[in-house]
Amino acid sequence: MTRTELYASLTEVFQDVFMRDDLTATPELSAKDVPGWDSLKQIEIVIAVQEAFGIKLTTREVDRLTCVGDLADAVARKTEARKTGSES
Amino acid sequence: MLNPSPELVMRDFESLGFNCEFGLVQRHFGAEALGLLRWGHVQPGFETLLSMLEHRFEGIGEHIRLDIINGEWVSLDLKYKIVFHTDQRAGMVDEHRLVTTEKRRMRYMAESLLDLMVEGETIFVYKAEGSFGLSDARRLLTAIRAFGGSCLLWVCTTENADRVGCVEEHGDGLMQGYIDRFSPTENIYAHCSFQIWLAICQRARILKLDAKPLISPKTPVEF
Repeated sequence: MTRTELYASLTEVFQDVFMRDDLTATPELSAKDVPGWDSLKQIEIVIAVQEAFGIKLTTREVDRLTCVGDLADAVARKTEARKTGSES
Repeated sequence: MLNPSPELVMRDFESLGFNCEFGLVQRHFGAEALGLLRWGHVQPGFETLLSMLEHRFEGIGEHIRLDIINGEWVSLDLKYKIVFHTDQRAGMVDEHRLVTTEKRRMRYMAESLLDLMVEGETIFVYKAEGSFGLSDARRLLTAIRAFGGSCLLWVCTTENADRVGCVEEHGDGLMQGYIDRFSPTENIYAHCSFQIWLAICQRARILKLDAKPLISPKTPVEF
């Protein structure tokens, strides 16, 4: 999956979770930019991302995320690990 | 890290409920960790917590109820009788959507909590009042250690000023911390002993690090 495809999928996730068609997932986007992005929404995002990409993100990994770029990196790492069979 | 910031110290701990005092302590020091029982109150108490662990939270989030308390939606898991803050104000969110979200959130957080227990690096915190004693703490530790090598920090109040802020080791990863007071449920933040909580967590963290062998048994020794 290319970075463009990854961010396109994340955009779909964010639009669905926030019910806003105008949201675009960019590396810099963070909770302070989106009204209503609180801890509850954060979990909704994580669950939706897990389902969309078929990966698992632990709460410790989620705690370390500061922006969508971090999330995209984590997704890329996990999907790559799954592909190579090295995911623990 | 030898001198971690209070935020980093707090991130090594995970609340096992009772109420949300320790969750607020973590927030006070800047640690906004996600945790199933961080904002949860296990209503019937200790035995329910043991039962949840024994059953690996099976069925959590299947049947829930939403109520409004002080203008905030709270959710109740009907199987284990745990009450959760949702941080959502009444009238600001769609109730049906919140039910769906809460059910998924509980399941995800329960799964993550079990993952942490399997990983074995977290120090779990249990704030105990009343007749909770050493044998109960050992039972809780045993339930936690059924998953992995995590430690348990059991925090209780003491009237002995010399013991306030101290942490006592009971062996096998069980620690007992002493605090001057717990906050009343009505106004936890205003009456919380933040600095004592921090001192207890700092000491517990050091005790845990000291207890670790310098060389992991799995690490091959080179000659």
